[in-house]
Amino acid sequence: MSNVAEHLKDILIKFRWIVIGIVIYFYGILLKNEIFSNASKDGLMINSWDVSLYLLNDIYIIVYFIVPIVLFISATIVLSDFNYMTLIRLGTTKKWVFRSLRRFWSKTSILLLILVFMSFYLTIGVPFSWDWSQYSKSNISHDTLGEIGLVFTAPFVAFLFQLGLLVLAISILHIFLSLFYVTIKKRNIFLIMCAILFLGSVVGFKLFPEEYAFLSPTTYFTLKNFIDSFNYPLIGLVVLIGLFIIFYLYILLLDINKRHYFQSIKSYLPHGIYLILCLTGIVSISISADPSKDTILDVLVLSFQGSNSESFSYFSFFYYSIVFFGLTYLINLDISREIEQIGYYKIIRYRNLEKWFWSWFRKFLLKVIFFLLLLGMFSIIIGAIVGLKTNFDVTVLYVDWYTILYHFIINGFLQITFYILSVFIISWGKREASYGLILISIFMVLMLPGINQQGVIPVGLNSLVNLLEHSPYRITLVLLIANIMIYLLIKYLFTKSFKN
Amino acid sequence: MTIISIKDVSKSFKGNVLFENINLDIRKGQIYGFVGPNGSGKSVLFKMICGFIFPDSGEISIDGLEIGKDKRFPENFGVIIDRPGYIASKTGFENLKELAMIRGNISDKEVVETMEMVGLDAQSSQKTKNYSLGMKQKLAICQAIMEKQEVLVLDEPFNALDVDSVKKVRDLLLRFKEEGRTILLTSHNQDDIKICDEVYRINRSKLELTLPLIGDSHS
Ligand SMILES: Nc1ncnc2c1ncn2[C@@H]1O[C@H](COP(=O)(O)OP(=O)(O)OP(=O)(O)O)[C@@H](O)[C@H]1O
Ligand SMILES: [Mg+2]
Repeated sequence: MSNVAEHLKDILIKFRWIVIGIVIYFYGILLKNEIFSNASKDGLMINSWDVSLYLLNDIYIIVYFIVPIVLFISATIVLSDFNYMTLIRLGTTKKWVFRSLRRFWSKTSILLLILVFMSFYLTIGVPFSWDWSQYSKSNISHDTLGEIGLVFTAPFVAFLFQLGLLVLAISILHIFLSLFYVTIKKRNIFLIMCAILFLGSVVGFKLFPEEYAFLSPTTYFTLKNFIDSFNYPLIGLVVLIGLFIIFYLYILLLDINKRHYFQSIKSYLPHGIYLILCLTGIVSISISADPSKDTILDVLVLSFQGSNSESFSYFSFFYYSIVFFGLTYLINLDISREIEQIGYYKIIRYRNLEKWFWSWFRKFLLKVIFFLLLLGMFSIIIGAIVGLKTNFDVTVLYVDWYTILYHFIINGFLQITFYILSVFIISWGKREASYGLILISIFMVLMLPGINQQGVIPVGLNSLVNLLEHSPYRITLVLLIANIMIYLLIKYLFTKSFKN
Repeated sequence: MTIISIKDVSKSFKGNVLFENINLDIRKGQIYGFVGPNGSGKSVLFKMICGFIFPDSGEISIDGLEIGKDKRFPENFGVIIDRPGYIASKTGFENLKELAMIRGNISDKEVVETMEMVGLDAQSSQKTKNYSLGMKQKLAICQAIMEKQEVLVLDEPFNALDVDSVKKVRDLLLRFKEEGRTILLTSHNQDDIKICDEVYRINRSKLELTLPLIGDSHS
């Protein structure tokens, strides 16, 4: 008898994905009929996107079907995977969290694939078009698709956004659950948490008033609810990415004994203060911008305009100094550590100084590029949050957006590289971080009005105001020559120090 | 050569003081035994050494790297602590293979060989949920030794094993010692303790050396 039951269970487990597919299919048929009757009542045309987006945005299938399955997969993976045998092999809890996320997606991706496949399969027999249908642009679709048709230019974009949203939201859900378990390590409390999440999503979409909708997990699973509660999808994305960053910071603390928290926070304090200063500048520029005419790229231009011999303002000069010389200073600290503490010990192994130099200098270059991209993203996102125009026009300068980005990223990168290389030479010669500060002060003086009139001194050239007088490609050339010259100097110093 | 160094470590749970400023250096290539009554903190000590819980004060370093600061879990440790959780619906071999894949430094053949060493049938299609207590214990031993881990931290490794298996595992541990591997174990059985080079008793929140007796033997 029990054998039969066992057998039945095995079969059910083996064919679970098919069962799930069948359930989604039949539910989808019901939804499809609903759209058909709605649209034909008013004589509106529909197309395949109406059907597939409707299925993906149906709160009931998400809340009563997808979420429970996702929670089940997540909980079983967390519970079965968190054991000392696995942990000791992985080496850190951080690695465990990401491994668990990978394992989670190896299962959940099948579920999403089935859902997406069904959303397409159901469109068989419905006319296809790349555009929104009459139905989705009309008012009656607001009950079913919400404002999606008004916010997104093309249904395909909405579809991709929906998929990305689902992946991001579900990943964050799993990361939350795994972090919760790692923190409390109590099976029962963990299961209660899963139940709360399920109930929260069931009642959440009905009970929470609109202002608090961002507290309900379901808001993040469907594009319809997402747009209803955030008006502007980018803001919701920022909330999700913010959550992700908070979780990530928490993950970084997981493997540290609490007694050492303070110590590790202290060692990151300069970086923290620096980042806050950078953000404050961008935020204050964004707030003072004029939402009726300024765009998100204007924020970038106004924040990083810097100064040159013709145009000078104290705010931009100091903000430029904080951002770019601050970065140079922080990197200088790392470089002198590299030289003082571990330099000699490593140099013996590398034998060749240039190899040693590139072994760590590479990493700084990558960090600089990453940092510039981050600054650019932050100005655009903050600009969007405060409600500036989200097109890629630049109103404060007569320059195209790609010139701005080229200058900001490429010339910014070359300029910072020049700063770092100069600071390296000083640290190499003097073996003392404070000399780097003197060099940085000299750079600041060189940026004052009237000094760098021809734009050939390779200091402050990445200021965006330079685009008023010089072509960005000329600036690139100047910076390239400066970098090559200073690198040759470093090579010369290296060969000299070997002869000693 | 010191592999594990315990410095001024204290640990208590809600007023229940388990350790107070204990100090110990574990040297490479020796077998260490830890004894003490139930609830005296043997398992807690092993968990702290492996980084599963942090001490309240003091520091534990493995090869000079402090747990909870420079490193979380020590590298290349084979560990048995608590009842291990297996994937119930998989066979013993599949469970071990899953673990072996994390580091990916041993082949299937080596997993099979380890299973045979402790007397488990690698070809058996029996799921671990149907394993006996002793078989589960053997599986736990397998995962702790299969990757030729340098340091073995074994909490009651002989639990539930039959007489022949106990002898087999004892001989294995002595062989590992010859190979220069370091072993820490706990046991409530006097015979098991005989294979240890040094034995510590947990007494009133301190570690007391009980074997070799001080002043005794080869010093
Ligand atoms: N996570 C924990 N939270 C609270 N108390 C704990 C925790 N872990 C262990 N203890 C307590 O610490 C004490 C020591 O437990 P431990 O498991 O180390 O004993 P033991 O010496 O291994 O005993 P046994 O010989 O029975 O294995 C016990 O009183 C136990 O209740
Ligand atoms: Mg114990």
